[in-house]
Amino acid sequence: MSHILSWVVFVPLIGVPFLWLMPAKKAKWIALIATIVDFIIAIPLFTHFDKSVKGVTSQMQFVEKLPWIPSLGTEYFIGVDGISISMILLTLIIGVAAALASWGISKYERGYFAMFLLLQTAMLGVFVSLDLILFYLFWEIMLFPMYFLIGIWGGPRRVYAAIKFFLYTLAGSVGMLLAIIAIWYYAPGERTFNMIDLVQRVHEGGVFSGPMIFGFPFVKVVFIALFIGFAIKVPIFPFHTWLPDAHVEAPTAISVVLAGVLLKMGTYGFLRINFPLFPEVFEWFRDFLIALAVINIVYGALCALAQTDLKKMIAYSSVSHMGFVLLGIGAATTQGINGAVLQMFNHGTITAMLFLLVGVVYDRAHHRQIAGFGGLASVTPVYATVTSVAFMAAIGLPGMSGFISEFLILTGAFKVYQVATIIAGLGIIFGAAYMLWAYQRVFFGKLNTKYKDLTDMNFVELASVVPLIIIVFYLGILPDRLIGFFEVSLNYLSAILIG
Amino acid sequence: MGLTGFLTVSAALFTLGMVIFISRKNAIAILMGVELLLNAAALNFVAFARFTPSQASQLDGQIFAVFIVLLAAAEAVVALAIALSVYKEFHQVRADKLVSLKG
Amino acid sequence: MSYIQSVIPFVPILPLFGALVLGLLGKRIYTKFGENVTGVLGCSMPFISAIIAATSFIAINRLDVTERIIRINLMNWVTVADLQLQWTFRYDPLSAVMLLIVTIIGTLIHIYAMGYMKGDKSFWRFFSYLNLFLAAMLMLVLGDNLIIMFLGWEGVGLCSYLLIGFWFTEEQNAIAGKKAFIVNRIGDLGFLTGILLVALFSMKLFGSTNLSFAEFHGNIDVLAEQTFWGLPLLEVIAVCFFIGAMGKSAQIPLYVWLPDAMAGPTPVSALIHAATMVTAGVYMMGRVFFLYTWAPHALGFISIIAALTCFVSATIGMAQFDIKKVLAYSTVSQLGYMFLAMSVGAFSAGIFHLLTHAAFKAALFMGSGSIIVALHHKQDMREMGGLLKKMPVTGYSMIAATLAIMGFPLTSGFFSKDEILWKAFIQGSPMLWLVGFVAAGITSFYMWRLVFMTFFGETRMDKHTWDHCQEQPKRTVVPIAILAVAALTIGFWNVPHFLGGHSNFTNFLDPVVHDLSSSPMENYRKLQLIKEKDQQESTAQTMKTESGHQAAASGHEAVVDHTALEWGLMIASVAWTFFTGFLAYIFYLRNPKAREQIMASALAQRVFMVLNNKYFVDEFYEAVVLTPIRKLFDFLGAFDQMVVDGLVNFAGFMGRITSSFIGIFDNEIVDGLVNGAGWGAQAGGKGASSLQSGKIQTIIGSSLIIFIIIVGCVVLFLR
Repeated sequence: MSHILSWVVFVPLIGVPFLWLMPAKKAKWIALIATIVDFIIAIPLFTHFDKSVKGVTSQMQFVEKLPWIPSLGTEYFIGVDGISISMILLTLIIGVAAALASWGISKYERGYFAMFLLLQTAMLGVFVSLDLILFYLFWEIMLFPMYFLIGIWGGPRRVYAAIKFFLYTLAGSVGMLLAIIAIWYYAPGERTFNMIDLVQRVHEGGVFSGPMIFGFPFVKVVFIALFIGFAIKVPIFPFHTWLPDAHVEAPTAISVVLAGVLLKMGTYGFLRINFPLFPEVFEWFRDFLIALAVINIVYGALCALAQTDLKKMIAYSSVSHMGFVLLGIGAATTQGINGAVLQMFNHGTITAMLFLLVGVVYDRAHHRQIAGFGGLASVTPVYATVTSVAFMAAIGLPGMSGFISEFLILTGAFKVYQVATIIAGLGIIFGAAYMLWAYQRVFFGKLNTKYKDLTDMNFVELASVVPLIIIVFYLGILPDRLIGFFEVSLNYLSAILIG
Repeated sequence: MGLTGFLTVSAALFTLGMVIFISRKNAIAILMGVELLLNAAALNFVAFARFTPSQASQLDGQIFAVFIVLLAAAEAVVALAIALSVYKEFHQVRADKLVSLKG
Repeated sequence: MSYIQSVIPFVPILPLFGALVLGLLGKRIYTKFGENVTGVLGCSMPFISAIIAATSFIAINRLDVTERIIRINLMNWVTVADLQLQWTFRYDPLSAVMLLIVTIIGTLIHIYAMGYMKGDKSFWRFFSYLNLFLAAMLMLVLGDNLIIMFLGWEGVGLCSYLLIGFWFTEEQNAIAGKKAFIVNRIGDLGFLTGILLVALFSMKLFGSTNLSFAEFHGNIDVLAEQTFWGLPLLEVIAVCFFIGAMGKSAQIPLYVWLPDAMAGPTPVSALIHAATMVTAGVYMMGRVFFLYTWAPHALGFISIIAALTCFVSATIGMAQFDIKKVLAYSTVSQLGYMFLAMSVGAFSAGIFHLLTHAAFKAALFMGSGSIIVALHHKQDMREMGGLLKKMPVTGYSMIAATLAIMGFPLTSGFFSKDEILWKAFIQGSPMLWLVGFVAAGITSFYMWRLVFMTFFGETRMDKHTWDHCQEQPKRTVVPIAILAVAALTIGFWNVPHFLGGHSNFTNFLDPVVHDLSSSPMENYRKLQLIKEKDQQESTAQTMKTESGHQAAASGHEAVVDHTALEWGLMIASVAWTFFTGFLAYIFYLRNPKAREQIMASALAQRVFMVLNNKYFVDEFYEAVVLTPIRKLFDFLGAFDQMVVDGLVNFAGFMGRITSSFIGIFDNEIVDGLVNGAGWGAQAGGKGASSLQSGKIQTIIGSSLIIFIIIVGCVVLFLR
């Protein structure tokens, strides 16, 4: 099958016109079918993927290349290597789960699912683009449906959250666009937007011949501009405050996508563009990055402890967990960076699960105040059990996927930054604290009589969560199955970064 | 008696006509002013024709004067007809009250 | 593939399977087939595991001593560059002993729980959790590398959390479970740091690592040369590991969770918080004993902690009235004994005490559970008394177990505790011995106090309860009796030489756990000497056998005959425990007046108050650790909301202010200019149009004026 990658990216978009062929109430089926079909046609991508190819600087797989704007040298250039293929897998999985989580949408269904499918295409596009302009295009397209999904189908303060999200991300991407243009203009050798070529040239000793900017070296300024653009997405302290608001206001499925996939686009950007293009600056920036990672971990966990809203708590736990990804990337040792990508995947599945589960209780009780529940375990045993599994996964219990990635990251980071790693370990303790504390207040204790008629999880809700649970356990026991996809690429990337 | 005398009389007549034309409110009076203006012009033509040094066109001015007399007669007929129509329409012929052309 | 290799993987997998089946289908089975089927299903998996453990134990005994380490590699786990972890189980004498303890006591307690949990609507869930616990514990025991051990380590923590909070409708239980989990996590962070250190240096020095114990053991003398932050690496790792053990095995200062954990159902207390999980720390130290032979300072530190724990918790045990709390503090104290043994290099003695303690403490807890059920969940000993008549099997079993724990001659506790005290004296210091000796007396005192208050004397309970209380069904009391018999007899496995035995247990463990023959410090010096000699003799010799150097180190010195001293100490401790036991008899049974007289004094009152409140440690933690952390996160939460997000919102606000200014500017000035131009044109047009008054005379007049002006201009300027 030729052009398989393009098919994978655009199949969700193809689904959009079909939404108008169905009654509005049935639109969700189209969305579900589109995501599932997308998943199915992507299967050859994973079965035919050559795990021994390095990628990063060359030898991308499933490459497609078409001229697009020849006068600018922009191409429709897509392809995957180990780093992106795992993210594509994650996006496809989360897509299906989120489609199922959208089952309860009852307002402008067609518009909602059209936006949802467009979002799916944009996210996949970001992960396959190998041309800087194409990358930027998908990156920005993604903002558009997200803005409406939060702004129209969100909670009470949705407009505030949507605008905050939109402007914050846009502010970051302006710098990113300028940086991309600067990279193109001062590229070593011939001007190009081809990021693989650029990384290859840098790796072979090419230098950006840009002038000093505001008295700082060119590469540093460009690096920082890119970094801030991606850091807002991750999000890294102090750029994280859009996240809790966006999560709290977004509908469940969108929270799932937001935490499951969108946050990874930031760290993916680090790995794909930001760091390999400027390895020397990365070297200079590394200590600072580690400091940010540790702040993210500990600060995020402590803030999570202080939250009273369940969804906000999970949002802050995302901040903490993404700190681990940063720690691994910052350490840039083989274990660290492999662990980081594994953590990106695992955090995607685990946090998706958490948001799905919060959505379950929100749909029934119409609020998320932790203190407003109590004793739910006696009326909704299935829900309590599934939630306990998800919480334990988030805590990083061995045997589940989160542990493997955290352990790899800690091992990798410990090679270079011992103190930071031990402080990051504190985050694990706080992580257990906020999760268990919340769990106890929601599920244990005397039953809050207001909720004595609460119904347990229904089939659709279970169908969206159970596959994720299976993935979490599977990757806890056989993580090599996933690590195998990206290990070669990342070991090579680690060598590029820290030589 | 030279050209200047004729011209002086003509200018006086013209000024008189102009003043009548501007200051009088009655349309008939204004028409009479116009007659004065025309006759002032005719007098000018005749005077210039009489004193012109060229022998080839002695009569040009006279011809113009005859034309003006004819034109004045025609004008008076038309204008008086208009005045009568105006009077029929508006029951008066005061020029300052007739402002239907106001922009 | 030998028998052992083929069956051992099933030992943890079967209970895991049981947990899954019960967890997913348990409710259906329970409602359809009832309690007995569910219970039998729950017991069957541990039972099969126990059979496998027992047969494997026989099989390993038939093997040659050198072949008794069996590693079973199942598959890869995580392989990233130089870190290569495998799913590998390790069956050797140490894990064989632990397997026996865990599976047999586990099975007995499962059977016991069928009686104890009778009528509970979450019966199936309880068995699912118990099965899961066994799976995790067996994983911990069988793990061949540090990470599998850590997996089990955290897994048992999870199950402990779930089971402590089993009756979750009581907020208090849930809080106790959470406390246990989080305190354990603090210890786990220490353990994890130790593992990271091992991984770091193994990868750095040897290229790659699988973190297995065999590899760690083989590399130990290379690692011994390393320093970390200027400290000897192995000392640091040893302390880190011990911090993990502190959490799991409830040592000072992380012991606070264990007494609270008694909120769980009694079978849980017996299985997890007495017999198995809490001894994981001891097991772990035994597993990596080679590390501790190289870390004498860490051992010194451990000995202080262990002695303190042993003594402090024993004193607290004297002043508790909740029967389970007494046993809980007793457990903490006995764990202190085990660590005391480990800390003086008597590893096998520690493990042996683990074994005997598992038997007698499980029996005691199960006995107390039996009483609690009979009295309809009353746990206060002040409301008991005279129960021996009503509950003979429970009563005699508990008395047997009490004899064992006090160290009555020839019971199991006698052999194990005596060995520890002796080793503490000879390889540690007389001070350590003294602390252990005093604590042994206190143990005897509070245990007999418990027995006398519960089973003897006049009953202090109300008539209704008294009439209704009766001996529990067979499924409850038979396991207690079995364990009581074990508690009495199991000690003969390790009869020391001076009593005419052969220390069979120590010898059995010898292929994997070597005791030190002298104090840890001396032993360390010897090890270093041997190493220096090695290096001088042959630098080329790189082959390392797993136990080469240690065997050399524990080579026999000039044997000094200590038999007389051993006898002396033994008689002293027996006499001392008899004395304190007798004291308990006087105070609590024969002459309570004497006790009341003593308690009347202000000093005794104050001491009692302090002990009864557990030295106010919980309050201390609350004030010094928890409150600041709570304040911190509340502050940070507000900080995030107010400052960090505030900045963002402020930026947005400033943007809006600026934009409204610009809006005003735009409206008034920029747009004003445009409007002004329009207005001007309009005004001009208005003015001009007024010329067009429609009055002929005005028109003519004005055109005349304009004509004159134009002509004037032409005449004046253009001529």
